[in-house]
Amino acid sequence: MKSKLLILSALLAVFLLASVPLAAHHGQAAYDLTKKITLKGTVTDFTVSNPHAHFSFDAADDKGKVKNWTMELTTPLMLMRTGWSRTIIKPGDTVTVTFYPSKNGAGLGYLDNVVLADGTMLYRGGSSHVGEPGVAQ
Amino acid sequence: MWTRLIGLIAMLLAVLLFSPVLHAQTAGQSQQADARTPVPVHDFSGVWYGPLELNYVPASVTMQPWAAAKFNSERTQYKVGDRPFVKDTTNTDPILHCDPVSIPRIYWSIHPFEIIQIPGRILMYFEEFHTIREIWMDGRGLPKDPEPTWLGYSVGRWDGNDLVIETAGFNDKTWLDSVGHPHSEALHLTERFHRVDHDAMELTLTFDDPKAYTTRWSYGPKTMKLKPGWEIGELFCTLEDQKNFEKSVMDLANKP
Repeated sequence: MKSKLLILSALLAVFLLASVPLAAHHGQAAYDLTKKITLKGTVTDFTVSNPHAHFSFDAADDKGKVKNWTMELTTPLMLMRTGWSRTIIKPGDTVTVTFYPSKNGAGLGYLDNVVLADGTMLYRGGSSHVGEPGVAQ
Repeated sequence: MWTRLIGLIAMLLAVLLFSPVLHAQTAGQSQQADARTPVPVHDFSGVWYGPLELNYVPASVTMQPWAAAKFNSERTQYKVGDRPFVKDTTNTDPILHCDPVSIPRIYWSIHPFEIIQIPGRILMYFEEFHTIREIWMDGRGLPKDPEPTWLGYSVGRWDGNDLVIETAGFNDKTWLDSVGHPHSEALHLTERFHRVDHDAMELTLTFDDPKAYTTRWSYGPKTMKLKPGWEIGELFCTLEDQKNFEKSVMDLANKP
């Protein structure tokens, strides 16, 4: 079951990377979709709430300066359909996060994927329309 | 003794392999019926999932001058032509302050909907904003002068195996899509659902709104997929949730 989920997630990710639009009501125009950043850090918050869930983490830059980042996800219901749960990440967890940064340089990103300490990889979820018949790619 | 036991186990395995219970579980896991599954007739029951469409009004469709002016004055999160995007509280999208989502915009959200058939009526139960829509199937016609409502007044009929729904009596407060295409209270919407096979149906929309658009126009067919393992969850739009999201995400996006 878990391996099926992983394969499904990986497939979704391929479609997501190849496609715009990515999100529902809240759009992704604030993000630089041409740039991807990967950071390792410690989770400080995970809010599973409408309209979009989000989590935050602290990560140190090359000089050791710590910055807090917030990652926008999709709606809670769609997250749960793509392998997430309310407790899958929690404050204190070590995560490796890959995201599209906001264009204004704030500590904000549109999640691509997050790798948990046990190696589980989760994607932003919610755009499983993408790749289905009838969808403008 | 052992031979009998092995024989018994083999029989049990055979029964299990061909039993409807296991078959149902397997079908549940794969979540799709195979090609031989009969196509239900006059039965669209189930949870359906359509494509995400943000801006689907064809470029060839011309708006009346007031509608074009309204469209150009809207502020959305999507850049359209020369109109820039916004991701802040100046956004004019009515659903961001929890107004109901229009038919047909609600079909193109990222959330599924369920079709429930009961005697004399079809109910559409949309996950988006936990919305219930009623379609009368008892042969009645559309009311002559309906009171304008968010979802309008809908009557349906079977045309061969297709389900055809006519709706009038919309208010003019909703958008047809996520980029702000308007409509008037005169909008008459026709939806045609065509079952392609067990797992798929197509929806074609026809818009007749002479007060807002210079021509009658159609969109589709767009394919929607049956999602047997899915249940409609609770997704209410609340102003508190919207405000919290603004504070934790949108405010960061709006930093200079």
